[in-house]
Amino acid sequence: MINLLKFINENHLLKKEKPLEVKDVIEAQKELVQSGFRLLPEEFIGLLKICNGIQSGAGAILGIGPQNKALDIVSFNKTYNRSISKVILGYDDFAYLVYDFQQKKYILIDRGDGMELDDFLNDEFVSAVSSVLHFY
Amino acid sequence: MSSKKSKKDLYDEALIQSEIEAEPFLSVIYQKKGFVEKFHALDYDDQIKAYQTLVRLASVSNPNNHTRNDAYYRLEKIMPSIGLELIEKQDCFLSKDERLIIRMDFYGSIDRIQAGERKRKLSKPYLDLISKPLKKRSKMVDYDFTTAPMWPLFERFKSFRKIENDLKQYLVKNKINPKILSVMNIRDFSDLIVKTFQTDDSEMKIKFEKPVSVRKRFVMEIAERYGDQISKILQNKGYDERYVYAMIRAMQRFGATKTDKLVITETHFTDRALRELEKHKIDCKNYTTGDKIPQQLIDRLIDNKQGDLIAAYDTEGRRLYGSQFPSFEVHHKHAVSSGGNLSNIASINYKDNLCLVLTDIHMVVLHGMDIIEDNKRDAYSRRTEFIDDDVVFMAGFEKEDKIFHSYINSSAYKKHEKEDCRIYASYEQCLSKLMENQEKYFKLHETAEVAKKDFNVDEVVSKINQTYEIRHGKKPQTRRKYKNRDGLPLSFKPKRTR
Repeated sequence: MINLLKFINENHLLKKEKPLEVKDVIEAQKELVQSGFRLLPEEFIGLLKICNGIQSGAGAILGIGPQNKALDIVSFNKTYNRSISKVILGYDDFAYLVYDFQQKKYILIDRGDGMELDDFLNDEFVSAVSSVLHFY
Repeated sequence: MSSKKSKKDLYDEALIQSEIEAEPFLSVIYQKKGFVEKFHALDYDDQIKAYQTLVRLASVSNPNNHTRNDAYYRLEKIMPSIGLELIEKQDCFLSKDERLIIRMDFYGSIDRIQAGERKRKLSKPYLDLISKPLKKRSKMVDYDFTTAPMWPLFERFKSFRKIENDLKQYLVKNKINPKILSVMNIRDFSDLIVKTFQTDDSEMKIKFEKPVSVRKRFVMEIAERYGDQISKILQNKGYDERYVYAMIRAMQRFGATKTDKLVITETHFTDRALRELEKHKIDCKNYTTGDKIPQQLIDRLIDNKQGDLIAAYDTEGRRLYGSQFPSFEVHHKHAVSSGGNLSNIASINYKDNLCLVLTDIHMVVLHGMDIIEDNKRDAYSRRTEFIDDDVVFMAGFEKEDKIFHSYINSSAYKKHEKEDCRIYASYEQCLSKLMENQEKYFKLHETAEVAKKDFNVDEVVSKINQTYEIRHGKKPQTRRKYKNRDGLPLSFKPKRTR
């Protein structure tokens, strides 16, 4: 995680968001569950507590009720996600970063046909996130 | 009976009418006639809502569902009017490996392959050889990339051809066995590129294409060439002039497309801006409120992270933030996934296959109707494509919201294509050669492993000790602990022979 934060800092991606409160997280989780998804992975919530939604040169990580409404994880998934076994956590021009609840891992999938381009276990969360963040 | 029905009809019509009044985009969904014209009469946000709703309705899986078929029909009618068409074809999909190479070329960067599952994707022969340097350096010529079965897949792209020498230099410097090239898979090459271009071990994303990536170069070039036209399009759509100015400048200078980090500055001096500049001792004596802020000054302040000093505010005194405005994305007009149809795969990332589009359009319109089915025997895809292949910018649905440019007749394009076409590589052939090489490597090493197992060190040590005892009449002294090149203790050190 330290490396990821270093990368975020070096690329000035850290934003002055209001701290993410527990009730915001619960509310978002509730909304996602109501839409058929399951609870967001722990590591991802951990990141949102530091960076609630990130946009980099060509990619983005979604957040919970962030300033930039286009990055709201609940509305983004309600709009663009047609699979309830995966939740979209981020994207770039090329791929979506999703968490697959069945396989219990992070997957980078082609935006066109959903082919798995890469996969990351929970302990490789940092690599998963950085895969969709690009240089400004 | 008929009066009852007509009452119901009247009621339905009234209901629809009131819904349309509340949400104008519903006219495109409900009205039987003139829905295409209605679509074009809507403002941009409502057009997106209408399109998105139709896509959702058309995605219902039951092919006999009336609502689905109606939505599909409406989309088919709207699409040509906005310069798009739905293409359905038998397809030839690219492998995961090839897509990853296209991705690396596009972004000009590679993610570090970390410990854990991803490390397991590196081949065993590569891990073996990269961790055991030779005693002597080999020469540059010893690293013959033509012996690397998977390299032609990279070599098709100019960005990788350019770094071949850098990779060789790394291998020479680190005394890596030249045989390594023959057993390296796609991931191994990615790892080698990471090792060659990383500035430190903790770097997560390694930039190998300098100075700029394919994506960035495209954005910068479009913004440079068509800055005025883009500005006009965005301002016509009602976006604040200062956002438009800042966005285009960020595109031109950094190839930026996202707005979160975008600092929207005033374009003309305001009282507030002059006050702030003065407070920070930035010379602005020659300027008064209303003067145009020189471009150089804006750029300098942005570079020095002082853009906030001249930040733009609305009439009610609220600051304008980039995140309030739309971002852009780069769309591949010919799908990366369907690249298997192309004779020159590198052309996927050519400028003529790229288009700078608003994020909404990219997500909802250009990828909204994608369907790809690949059951190994038949591969089928449906995708939204431009009728005019020369679209390079799209910020709306009308013709005046688009910019057209043709690259294919330029000499630079032809030269680039000619160079790329020289290298032919078939993924299957490359992979089969790699398998063959790795098998040979394993056979050789399996033999070595067996030989090592047969050679029982303890047995040999015990025999040597027995001989020593017989010769000297006493047990040998405690042996010193020697370490092998991997830092592991050796059981014994053979006696030096004269």
